[in-house]
Amino acid sequence: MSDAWRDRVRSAVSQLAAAGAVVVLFIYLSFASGAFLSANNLFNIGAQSAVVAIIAIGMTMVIITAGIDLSVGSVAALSGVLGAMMVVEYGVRVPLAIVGGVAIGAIAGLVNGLLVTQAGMAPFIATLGMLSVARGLVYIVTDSVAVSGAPPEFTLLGQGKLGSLPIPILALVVVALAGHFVLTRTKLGRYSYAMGSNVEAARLSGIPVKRYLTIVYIISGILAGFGGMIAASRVNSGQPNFGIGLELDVIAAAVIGGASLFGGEGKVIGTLLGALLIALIRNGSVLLDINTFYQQVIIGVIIWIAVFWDQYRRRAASELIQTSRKTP
Amino acid sequence: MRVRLSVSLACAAAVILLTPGCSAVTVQGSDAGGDPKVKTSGPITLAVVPKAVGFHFWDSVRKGAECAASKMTDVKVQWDGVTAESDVTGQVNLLQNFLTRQVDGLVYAATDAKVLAQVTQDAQSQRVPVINIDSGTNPQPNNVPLFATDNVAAARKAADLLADALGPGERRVAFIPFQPGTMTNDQRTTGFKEGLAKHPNLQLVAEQSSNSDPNTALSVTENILTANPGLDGIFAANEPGVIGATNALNQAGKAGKIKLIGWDASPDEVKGVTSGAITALVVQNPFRMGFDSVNAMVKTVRSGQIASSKDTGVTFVTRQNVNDPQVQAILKPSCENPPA
Amino acid sequence: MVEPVLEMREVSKRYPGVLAVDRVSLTVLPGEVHVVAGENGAGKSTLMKLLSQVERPDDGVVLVGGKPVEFRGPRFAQQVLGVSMVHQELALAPHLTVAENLCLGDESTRLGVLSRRADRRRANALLARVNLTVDPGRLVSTLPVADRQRVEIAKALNGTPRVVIMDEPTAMLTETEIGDLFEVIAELKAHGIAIVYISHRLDEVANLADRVTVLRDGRVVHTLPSAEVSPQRLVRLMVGRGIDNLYPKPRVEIGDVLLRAEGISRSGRVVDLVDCTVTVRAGEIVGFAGLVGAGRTELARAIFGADIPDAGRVLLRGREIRIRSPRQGIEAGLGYLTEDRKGDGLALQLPIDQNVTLANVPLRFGIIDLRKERKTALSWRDQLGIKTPSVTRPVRVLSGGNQQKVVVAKWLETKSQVLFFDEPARGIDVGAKAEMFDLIGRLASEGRGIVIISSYLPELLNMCDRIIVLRAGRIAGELAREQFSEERVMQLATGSTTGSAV
Repeated sequence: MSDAWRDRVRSAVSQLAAAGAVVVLFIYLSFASGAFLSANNLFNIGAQSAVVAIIAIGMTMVIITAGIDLSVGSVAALSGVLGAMMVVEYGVRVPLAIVGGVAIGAIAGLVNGLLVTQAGMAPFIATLGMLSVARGLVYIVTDSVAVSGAPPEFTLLGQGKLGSLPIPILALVVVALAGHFVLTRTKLGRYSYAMGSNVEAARLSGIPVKRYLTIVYIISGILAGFGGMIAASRVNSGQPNFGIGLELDVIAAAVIGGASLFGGEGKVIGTLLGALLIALIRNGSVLLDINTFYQQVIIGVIIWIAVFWDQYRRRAASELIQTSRKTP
Repeated sequence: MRVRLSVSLACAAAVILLTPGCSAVTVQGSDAGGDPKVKTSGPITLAVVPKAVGFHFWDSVRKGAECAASKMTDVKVQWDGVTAESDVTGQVNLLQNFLTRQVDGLVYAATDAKVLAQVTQDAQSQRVPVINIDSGTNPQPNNVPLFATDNVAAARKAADLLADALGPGERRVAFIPFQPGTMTNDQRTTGFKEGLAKHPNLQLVAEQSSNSDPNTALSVTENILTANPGLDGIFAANEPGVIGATNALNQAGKAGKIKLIGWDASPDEVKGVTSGAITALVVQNPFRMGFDSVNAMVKTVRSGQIASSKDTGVTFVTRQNVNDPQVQAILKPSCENPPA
Repeated sequence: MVEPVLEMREVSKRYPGVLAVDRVSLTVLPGEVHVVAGENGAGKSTLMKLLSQVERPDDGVVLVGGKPVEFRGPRFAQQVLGVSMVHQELALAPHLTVAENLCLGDESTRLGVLSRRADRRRANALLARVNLTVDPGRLVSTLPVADRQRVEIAKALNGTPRVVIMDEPTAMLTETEIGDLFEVIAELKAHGIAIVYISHRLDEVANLADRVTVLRDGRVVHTLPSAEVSPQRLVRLMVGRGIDNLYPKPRVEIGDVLLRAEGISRSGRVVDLVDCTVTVRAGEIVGFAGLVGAGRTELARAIFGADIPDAGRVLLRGREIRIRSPRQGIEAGLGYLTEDRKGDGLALQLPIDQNVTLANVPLRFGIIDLRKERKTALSWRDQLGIKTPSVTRPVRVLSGGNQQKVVVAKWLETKSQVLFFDEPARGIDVGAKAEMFDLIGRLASEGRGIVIISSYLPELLNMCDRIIVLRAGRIAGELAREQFSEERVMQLATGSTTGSAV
C-alpha cells in the first residue's frame, strides 16, 4: 500500500462518522418505515436539506478560516423578504429578484467581512451584530408581516422540478460542486485553509489575508441569501420569522461533517453529509411520529459523537504517522 | 382578610396623600398593590405588547389598538414586542422597561402564564393598570381583565369542522401544533383532542410541531404525507403551520383532497380558502382584541373603572362565507370598517 | 554512598504503536544536576512526564526517598513527593497575577475566603528563592520571558521540593539570562534540591551537569559523570554516529551587493529601530547578533515587509523597491523564515506539499495544478532531504528539523534571492542542526544572500562571513570574519567596553 494512497484513505475516514451515521440511519429507516424508501420521500429529504446545506457550504468556508458566521439565518430572512417584496411590490421579474436577494446577502457578507478585517472585530461578535441588525431590518421593511402575493413563477426555485428532480436539489448539487472546486482547486480555497491553520504564516507567505477573508464572508452571505430565496420560494412568501436559530443547524451540519471550529479543516462533502444527517433525523422522526423535543436531543448527541470521533481519529492518525516515522 | 385590610389601608393612605383615585373606584377585591392611578385629563400613553411581532394576527391587534387610540384625543399607543413567542425573558424585560418609563396602562399578551404573573404584580404595585389580551397569567388577578379567544372551545369546534368535512367512516388526521409548552398552543391542543374524542371515526396518526416556522411546517407536512399516504385531514393550529401545510399539499397535488382546517387569517391563508386548498379557517378577532382592550384601558385610566374579561369570539371562515361583509370586516379590518 | 532521592527501575511507557520509554533506570542524587540529553523523540519528555506523574508508567517502579510511590497525578507528585516540573512552554496563566499563579490550586484562605495578603507573602518568599524581585501583584502577561520562567521555577518550589525537573529551560533565554538561571540552579543545589535538566545545548551540559544520562530511542545509552563529558562524545552517544562538523561552512566567492536596506526606522512595541543600514552580498552569510529585544527580528521583519518601516528604503541589486507587505517582499525576492515555526511559519494542519507551495501556488488557467504541486514538493523533498514517505501528510507530524526544511522549500520555491533565517536551529536535533547549516551553506554557495539571526553565538561565529550587532534598535557595529570573537560581539551587544560578563 503506497503512503500517498494510505493518506488519502485516512483523510476520507474523517468523514466516516457522518457517513456512517447516514448509512446506519438510512438502513434503519428503510426497515422501520415502509414509506421511507420511496423516490418521492428521498427527493423530499433532499429538498428539505437543501436550504441548510447550501448555507452550510458557505459556513464551512468561514469555519475553515477559523471564523464563524452567526448572521446566516437573519441574512437569509432579509434576502427572502426583500426578494419577495421586489416581486410583489415593485413588479421586478422573478429571476432578477432572486439575483437581488442574493446580492443583499452579498452586501451583508461584505459588511461582516469588513468588520472582521478592517475593524478587527472577532468574527463571533461582528456576525452576532449582523444577526441582530439583519433581523431588525427584516421587521422594519415588512412591518413584521409576511410578504405574500407573489406570482406563480416565484415558486419555481423552491417548488419547481427538472424532470422529477426538485430544483432545490439541483441548486444544492451545483453549489456543492462549485464549493468543492473552490476549496480544493483555487487560491481562495487554499488560502482559506492556510489562514485558518495559521493566519500569521499565511500573511508572511504573502497572502493578502484581509482581502481573502472578506471574500469568504461575502460568499457566506451570498449563499445565505440564496438559501433564503429558496426558502421563500418554497412557501411562496417572504417570511419575517424565517431562519431564527437556523445558524445552529448550519453550524451543526458543518461540524458533524468534520469542520473544526479552530480552523484549517472542513470539507464540502462532510458538510453535505452533516446536513443530510440532520434532514434524515427530522424526516425519520416524523415518519415514526417521534416527539419534536427528542429530535433536538438526538441532533445534539450526534454533534457530540461526531466531534468526539473526529478528535479520536485525528489523534490515532497522528500517532500512527509518528510511529511509522520512527521506523523508516 | 389581612390582605384585604392592608389593601384598604394602602388605599386610604393613597387617598390622604396623593390622589382622589380610591374613592371613585368601585373597589373590587384587588390582590396586590394599590388601585390604579386615575388620570382624568391630559395625555396618556398605553403600552400594547403582543407575544411577538412578525405575524398577521398580531398586526391586526395593533391595527385595532391604534384605531381605538386614534378615535380618542390625548391617547397614544406604544407598540413593541419581542421577535419570538418563546422569548419569555425578553418580554419580561420589555414590559419592565415600559413600567420604568411610567406608561399609564399596560395591555399585553403573556408569553408565559406563570412568569408574567410577576410583571403584572409589579405593575399593580406601581399602580399601573393591566389588561391581558389573547393570553393571560396564572394566577390572573381579578382586577386584570382578559380579552381573549376561548382557544379550547374554538379548537374543539375545529375538530367538529374537520369531522363534518370528512364525513362518516374511518378517517386519518394529522395535527400540526406550533410551540408545545405555550399556553395558547396547549389550549388549542387540548380543545382539538377533546373535539376528536367526540368523533371516534377520526384517528390521529401524526402530531408534529412546526416551531412556528413555515419552512419547518412545510417539511413536516411533506414527511407526514410520506408516512401516511392515506391521510384524510390536517389541522394546523396557527398561521405558519397553515402556510407550510398549504404549500406542501399544493406541491403534492393533494390540495382540496386532503381537508385542511387552519387557524388565523393572513392573506395567503384566505387565498387558500378561496382556492379550496383550505377547508375552513378558525379566525379570531384580533382587531377587536386590540380595539376593545385599548378602549377599556382608557376608561380605567380616566375613571378607575375596571372592565371585566371578555371572549372576543371566533369566526369560521369557509369558501361559502368568505365574501360576506361581516366576515370581510374581520378578515380585512380597518378603522373605517371595524369588525363587529 | 548517598541515598538517591529519586530512582527509576526498568520503567517503560508505551503509546499506541510506540515504545516511548523502554526499561529506563535512572538515579538522581540530592543536590545534583542530572542532565538528560537526547535527540527529539528520544523519549526525554515522556520520561519527565513519568517522573512528574503527568503520565502513568506501564511498567517498572519509581522510588522517591527509597520508597516505591504510587501514581496519583502531578499534584500529588509536587505536594507530597516534592517532585515538580518547569515546563518548556511555560505553563502559567497569563491573565493572573504572579502571586495568583504561584498559589494556583493551593490558595490561602481565611474562613473560606481567598486571602490575598497571605498569598502575596508566600509569593514573595518563593520569588526570593529564585532571585526575582517583581511585584507579585503584576500580571504574568506583563513580565518578560526570563522573569516568567523564574516565576515558573518559583512555582515548582512550592511545598517541600526535592526534585525540580527543567525541560530545556534556556531555549528562550539570552546568554546573560542563562547565566542568571545557572546561579539560581546553583543555589537550589546548595539547598540539596536535585535538578533533572533536559537540554540540547552541548556546552551547557558540560558547564552545568554533575552527571549526564543520554537517551536514544527510548533507552538509556549511557550515564556518565561530567568529567567524562565532551561535546563530541555526547553527540556520538545521542546520534549514534559521529558528526565531524556541526557548522559545515563552504568556501564561497562573495559577489555583488544583492540587498541594501538603508536607514530603516520603525517604532515598535518591544524596541524602536533607529536608522539601521544593512548590506548583503551574493554568496554571503551575514549574522544578526544582539541581546533579546535588541531588534534583530524586528529589523528582518521590517526589511521583508512583515512590518512596515516608518522610514528607510530597500534596494535590490541597486534598484529601489517598494515593500509595504510580505507579498511585495516576496515578489522582490526576499524570504523570511520565522523564529517560531509553529506560531507563524507553517500551516500545521495543511499537508507538506501545500505548505511548500503556499507562497507560490502553481496555477493552470487560474486553477491549482495539483499534479505540479505534488511534483514540486517531491522534488524539494529529495533535494533538501525532508524525511517523509509522502508529501500529503500534515506538516505537524514532521520533526522540527524536517518542518524547518519545509519552510526553506517554501521560500526556495518563490525564487528568493535573499533569505532571512531567524533562529534556524532552535528546537531541532543536533543531527538536524548540522544538516540545516549545511543547507544554509549550500544556498549561499548558489549565490543567494543569507542572513542568520541567532542568540547562540557559536552558530554565528562559525557560519557567518560578517556579523552585524544590534543594540537597542540600533546597529552597534559590524565585524568581519577575521575580527570574530565572542568577546567582541558581546561588547558591542551590551555596550560595555570592559568585556562581557558571559
